[in-house]
Amino acid sequence: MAWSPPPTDVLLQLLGAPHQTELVSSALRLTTALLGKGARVQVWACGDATRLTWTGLGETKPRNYGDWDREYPSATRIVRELLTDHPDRLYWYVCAFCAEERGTADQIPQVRRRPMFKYAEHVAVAGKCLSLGVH
Amino acid sequence: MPETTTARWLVMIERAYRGAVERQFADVLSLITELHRQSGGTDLALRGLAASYALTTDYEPALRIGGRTLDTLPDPRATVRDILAAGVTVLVEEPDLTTLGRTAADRLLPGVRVVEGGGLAARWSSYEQVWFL
Repeated sequence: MAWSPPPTDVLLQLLGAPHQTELVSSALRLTTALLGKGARVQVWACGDATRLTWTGLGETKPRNYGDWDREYPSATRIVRELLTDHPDRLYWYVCAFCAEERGTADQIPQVRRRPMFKYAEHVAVAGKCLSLGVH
Repeated sequence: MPETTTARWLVMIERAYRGAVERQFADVLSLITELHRQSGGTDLALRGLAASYALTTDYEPALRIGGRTLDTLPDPRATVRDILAAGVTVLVEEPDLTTLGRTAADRLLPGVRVVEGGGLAARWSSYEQVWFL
């Protein structure tokens, strides 16, 4: 039987790119707030937002020459920890086409790659759908 | 008589707040001290919303994400203080300060210089290079 996305209260579609605006910070704050209210949330990342959960980012950011011994978690680690903290209420998907196109196909195991022609299935099982940013 | 061009560089930053969670220490301000070292001296102009980097604030650069408190976010005011301490001249245009509120001028970090609106463009010719970052 074909896999189907679990129902959620909210679908957050991440269309905008990281490193440009506070879109990612806002999305993670919103996700945290929703989870804090007991909601179930799914995130669908498109375009350069697929890099947030790319294995190539590793566990930490490169060293800071100005503060050599301080550790800075990568975006991948931040998202992974958020996912592992909420295994039954938070789901993170990346558009498989975007990931292939942007060189981020190697995703952490907590993230599911989905073909873009299945996107409507995710919309159908979400109580509300919110798009953040522009592709 | 034409103004003498110095070897100094002028760096303009107009776009602010470009991704706190993903950038952390690696924000655009972190480049300035290094550019100052590599050039004949760098002046930094903070324009638009980036002028707010030069204002004191009570904001604590930390964010709760799930069970984690991410306390490694960019701290623009601390970085601007470091930049000033390194000898970089930091400039903001007066109209940008006005846009940021009635008390903005009173909250300017010590050492930041205010120039008249449009005053930066008039100074471009005195620099060897002008960069928009």
